[in-house]
Amino acid sequence: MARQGSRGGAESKKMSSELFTLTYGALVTQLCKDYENDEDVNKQLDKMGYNIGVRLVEDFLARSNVGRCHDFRETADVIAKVAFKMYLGITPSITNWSPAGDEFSLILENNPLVDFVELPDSHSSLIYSNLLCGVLRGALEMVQMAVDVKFVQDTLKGDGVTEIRMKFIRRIEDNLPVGEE
Amino acid sequence: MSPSQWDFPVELCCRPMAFVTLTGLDVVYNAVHRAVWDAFCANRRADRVPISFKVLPGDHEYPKCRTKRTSYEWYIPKGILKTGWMNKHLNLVPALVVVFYELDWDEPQWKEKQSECATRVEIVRQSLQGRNTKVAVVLIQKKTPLPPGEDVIASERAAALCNACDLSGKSLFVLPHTDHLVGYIIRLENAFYEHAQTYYYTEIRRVKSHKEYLNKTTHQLLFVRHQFKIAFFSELKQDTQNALKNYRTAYNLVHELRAHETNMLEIKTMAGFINYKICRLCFQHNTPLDAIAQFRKHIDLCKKKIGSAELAFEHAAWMSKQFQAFGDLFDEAIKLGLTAIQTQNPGFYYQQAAYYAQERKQLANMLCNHEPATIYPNPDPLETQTGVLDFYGQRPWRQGILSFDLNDPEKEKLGILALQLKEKKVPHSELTITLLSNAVAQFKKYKCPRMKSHLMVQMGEEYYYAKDYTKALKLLDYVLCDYRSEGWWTLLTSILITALKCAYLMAQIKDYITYSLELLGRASTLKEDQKSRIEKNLIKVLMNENPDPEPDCDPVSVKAAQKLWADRVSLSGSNIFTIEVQEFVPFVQCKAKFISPSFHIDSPVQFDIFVKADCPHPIRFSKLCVSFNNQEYNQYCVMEEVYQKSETLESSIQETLCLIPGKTKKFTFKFVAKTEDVGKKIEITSVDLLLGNETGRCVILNWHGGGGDAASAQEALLAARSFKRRPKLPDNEVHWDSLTVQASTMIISRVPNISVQLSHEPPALTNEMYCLIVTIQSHEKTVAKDVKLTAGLKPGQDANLTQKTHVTLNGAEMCDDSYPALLTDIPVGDLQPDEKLEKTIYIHCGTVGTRMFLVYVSYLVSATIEGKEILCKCHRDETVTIETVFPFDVTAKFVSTKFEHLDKVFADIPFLLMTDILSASPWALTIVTSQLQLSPSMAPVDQLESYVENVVLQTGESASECFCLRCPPVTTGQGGVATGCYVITWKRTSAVKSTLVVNTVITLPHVIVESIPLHVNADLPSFGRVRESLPVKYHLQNKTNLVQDVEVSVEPSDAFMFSGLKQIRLRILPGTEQEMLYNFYPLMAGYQPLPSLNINLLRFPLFTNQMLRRFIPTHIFVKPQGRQPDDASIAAA
Amino acid sequence: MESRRVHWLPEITRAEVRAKEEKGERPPLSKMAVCIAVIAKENYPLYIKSVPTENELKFHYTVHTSLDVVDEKISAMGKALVDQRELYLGLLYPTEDYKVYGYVTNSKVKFVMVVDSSNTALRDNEIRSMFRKLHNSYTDVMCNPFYNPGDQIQSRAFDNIVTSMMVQVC
Repeated sequence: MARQGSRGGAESKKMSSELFTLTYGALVTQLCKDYENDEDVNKQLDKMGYNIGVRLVEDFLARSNVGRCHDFRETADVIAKVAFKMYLGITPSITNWSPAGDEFSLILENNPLVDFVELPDSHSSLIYSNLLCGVLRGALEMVQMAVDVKFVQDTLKGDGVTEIRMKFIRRIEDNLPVGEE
Repeated sequence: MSPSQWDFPVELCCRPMAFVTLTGLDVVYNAVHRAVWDAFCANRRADRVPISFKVLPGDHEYPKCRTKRTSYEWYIPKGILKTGWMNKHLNLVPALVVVFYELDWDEPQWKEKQSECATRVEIVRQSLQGRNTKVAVVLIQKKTPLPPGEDVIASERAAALCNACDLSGKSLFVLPHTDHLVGYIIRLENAFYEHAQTYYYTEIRRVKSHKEYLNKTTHQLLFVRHQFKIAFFSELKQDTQNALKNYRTAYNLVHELRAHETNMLEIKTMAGFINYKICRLCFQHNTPLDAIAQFRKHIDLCKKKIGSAELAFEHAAWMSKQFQAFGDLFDEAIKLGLTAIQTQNPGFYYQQAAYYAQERKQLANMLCNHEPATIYPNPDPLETQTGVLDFYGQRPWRQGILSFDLNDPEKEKLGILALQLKEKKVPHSELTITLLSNAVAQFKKYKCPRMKSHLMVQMGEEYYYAKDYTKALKLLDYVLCDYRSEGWWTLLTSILITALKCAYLMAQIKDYITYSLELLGRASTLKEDQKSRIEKNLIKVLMNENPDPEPDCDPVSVKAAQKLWADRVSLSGSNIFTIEVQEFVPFVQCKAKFISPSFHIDSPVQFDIFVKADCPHPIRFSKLCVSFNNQEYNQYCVMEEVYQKSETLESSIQETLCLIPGKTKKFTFKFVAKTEDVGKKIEITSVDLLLGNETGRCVILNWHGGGGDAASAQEALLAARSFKRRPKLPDNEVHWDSLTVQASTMIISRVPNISVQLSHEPPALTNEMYCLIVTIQSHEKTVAKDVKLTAGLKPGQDANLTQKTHVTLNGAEMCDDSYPALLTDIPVGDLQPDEKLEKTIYIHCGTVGTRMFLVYVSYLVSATIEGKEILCKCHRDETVTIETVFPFDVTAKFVSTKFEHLDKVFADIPFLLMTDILSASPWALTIVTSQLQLSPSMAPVDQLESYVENVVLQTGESASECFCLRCPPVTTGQGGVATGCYVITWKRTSAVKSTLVVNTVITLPHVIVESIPLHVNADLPSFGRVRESLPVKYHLQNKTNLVQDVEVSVEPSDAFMFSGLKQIRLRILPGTEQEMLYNFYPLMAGYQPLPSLNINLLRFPLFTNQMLRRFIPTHIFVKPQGRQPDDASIAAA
Repeated sequence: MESRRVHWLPEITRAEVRAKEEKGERPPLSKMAVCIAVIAKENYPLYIKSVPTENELKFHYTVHTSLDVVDEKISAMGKALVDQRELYLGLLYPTEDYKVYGYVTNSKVKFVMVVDSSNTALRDNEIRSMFRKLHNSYTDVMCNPFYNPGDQIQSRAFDNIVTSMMVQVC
């Protein structure tokens, strides 16, 4: 599946992190303005992320040159060490494996999406970075993995770290239409 | 204000000048003496020596000199500086006493006079026993003295007089009482000044000499005193550098004194005096930074030296004085040319002085809070025997006591009580306000508007404490707008609170309401409960009841205020107040919005007024009305609700005119615009909201334009940037922030219900009467009255077009320049519903080009809106762009009779004019006729008649004509001759019969005419036949006035044999003609070259055979020898 | 201010840089201001905090009046300031009890800091670095997508920075 392409990883384009962060911030605040409540915004962010994920995975596989993962642990490693590094410049740590090995946490010490962000009290139920969950879900779905992704800790809410919990649900058979569960 | 204990003595603040007394002058009765004294006093400007003169009688008793102390060993000083000392040396003990005496050198009774003078000197000396004061004698003389050395008697007598008076020669002066009095006086006073300087020098030496007897333990005070004296004498001596140096030393010494509660005041007083002197001298030496540094040091050293806690207000008073005095010095220096800056100007010192004055008041309020029954002690502990203190800064009840222990605590208590009771009477606020006002003036000067406002607030507050509420309110009201415009709401609120108190205490209803309105508004930072209290009071006032007093007001003032309010309640009338709210931030906000930027006259104008209250409780208003630039509409936009007087303003939430806090209320208004306002702007000029009742008390909140207040512009900007989610509201509610003001709308005419169609066949052709058919059809339901048509060139285009475009309704007549370019308001009559009407407009365009034409139809129709019938003026306009083109391209050319192109023609020799008409019109054109109008210099060879009559030309087709002309020889050798004009008469083929034909005139080109000496033409048949004789006759015409020798030859040709003269030389007379006859005999069939005729003119070598060929044929068609039947067919061809 | 272009991939984030700065170079005497204010371009207050023991209103006035000097400094040496990119205005004016310092951003937002006059330990360099830190924190506030430029600053992060610079009165 991996493809050697002109998108070789070495000379990735750079952009200002402020611009990136502000762009994401503008997106979230506009959603906040447009939707009735924070739950709807969270859903919308997840949906957008999903749409990014299903596309981004193609780019990721082409660039990263990683092969098929043999188990969920390997997937976790690839996500944390390759994917996060490549797209967000950070390497979250992987912890809290469930005994069954189907659930783990990504611990982000530093979430670049939330630089400068301070949540107002009126948005206490907003999951600001929920886009990331959608991205992960969408990307994995394209490689036949149905997962459940959610934030369980968030520095914006006063937690010490940001924690994304990922749970493997099932393998998607190739003949099933994607995205319809 | 009378000088207080804290003011510096005048003798400290003045500039010390040498003190000289003048005796022996009778300035009252003796005119000469008077003149002398005046000369001393008048014009004492900076260029005169600094002396202070005083006239005293000769036997004046000067202050006695105490016997000189030989030892200080047992001497214990009682204080630092005697209160009388400075004055003594400024005004009482002279440096020099001058004895004036009238005595001339030639005085007959010299002896007697000399001894009298000596006596006078002696009296003065007696009085000055023990002092170093100098004595001088001035002889007032009637005669002008001779130059020195010439008057022997004078020298002798002067020496004798000096001897008699025990004077040195330097102390005897002569003052001739003559014309140059002032000059003599100036010389005299310079001499006096020298004497005075010597005196003060010796005084300094004297004081310095005491130093060695002093010891550090018992004579600490004397160190300061002596140092001060040295400095002061130096000042009198005008030696300011040394004065400054000595004052600085004195200043350091005064702080070395052992300080205790009992002598603190004395130390601070002296420190203050010396500091003042130092700063003053620093400014005088133009070293303001030194002055400032000294002052800072002084303040830092003394700030904490409070002294007796019970008299702490004294320290504040003293501090205040220090700052004020420095401010004065600084300000004075500026007046003398010093430049101050924004951050270092006297204002800061006055401000600080004011702060200390305020502190003094607070301390006084705290410390002097005695029972009203407390009696001022008797005897007055502040009284002294002499009425003054012996030493500066000491307590009157224990003067000269140096012990730090209080030997009489009872006396001390009474003294303090007396001081406290006195302090109570001090007008503290008045002092503070004066200082603040000084500071305001300074900060205004140094571009500190905010500092100025801040100080004015403090002044206002001080007036408030002083119960001068009118002044307080005036100041506070003045600065409110500064804080409001910059959006400092905390400060604004704080000022408003004080202002409201003032308004309450004076029962100023309008002010009270105004401040309440703003304190309830969104700019106010008050807590909800305070707002609630204010709103309740406001409602009370509007209900014509007494409001509750504002908190923390002076109880006495409140009592007075309550009476005032009660009086106001009983008074009826003049209880309507209009408050223009756009200048502040009231608790009711208003936005007016026309629902559309324009309205058709036949639809009602609609707008909404949005109102929102920010106060804590619902509030009802009685009336809402809107004013417009056209006041006619005002009557339709009033909303009113009558309610019972007994009802309160709060209760009825469900009513229409009740504002619920935070909720936006919408009022929709509708009216029918006046027909005369069509095309005009309707503007809301103001919105009025009435709170209260017109019969009781009533406030009209008046918004200029469509609402908005002092804060709304900035709010609108922030709202536009906001990301904040706007929660969903019920359908009939709106978000205040999302509303924008739209205070004006345009009234536009009713939409026309007629159609205007134009039919025409573009492009227009130059000069034709272009036909534009306008079809107007009414789709109105009722009759369209007074239909008027305006048609023609649309105004506003190139002015040249207006000259060359003419419009008419009459197609039967060709337009000329008198016709207009635009026909206006052609009455067409009425149009019934669905009636159609056609009007033909003829347009005459004199030039080619693009033109815009306007067809504008107006009419009146009545319409009913909102049950009202109005007559609407409607109009529809159409514009059409029409191109005008030339109907044809006409070319004209000259050719020879042999159809060869000519650039010039030969006189008298016929030539051809060929015209070619090429149709450029997309429409078929019929050429009715054409006509050649020749100029006089041209003549037709035969009848000129049109060959193109009734020819129809389609696009691109052309018609040609040919005219044979001749041109007589021209005498003058000009460039060419005019040919004439070619007139084409034409019309569109499609045009109806009645259509006017158009004459298009084409000016033909000029042609150059040349004369030729010999003209040759040939007579010959049109063809020949093989082997049949062909007779040819050449005519040779001499066109000159000369006899011409002509050589003629004929060259043989292969195709012909010929007979006739092969070569001849002949002579032709002027104007005559010679014929040459030949018989050619064709040998071959076909188009054959004729034997060529060569002519050579001896007189005109330029006449060539080339030229000749133009006139005579060179070839001829030769038929073969034929069979008879063929002949006929050939002849037919 | 040098334009900060922190690139996305290989470099550490701005927040980290900031965190390092704060840990390392915090001057020991920096907790010395008695009032800190941020004033909008239009001269209304965006943020004012003063030590709780003192009369808050007084500091409002102090800050407000200091704008006279700020205005004057900006207009007097406006051109020079722009050229040198010097944002620190220095001591605005001394009062008997306080020293007032000013700083103006290129967007004409002003920072005003009031320091107790008795505090002679605080030198110009320290004041300057305190302002720079405030400016950085203010820039972060502006970058918070939930903050509307022009609104009152309610950021906890900014508030913490300010509190860390103020005198802790026990």
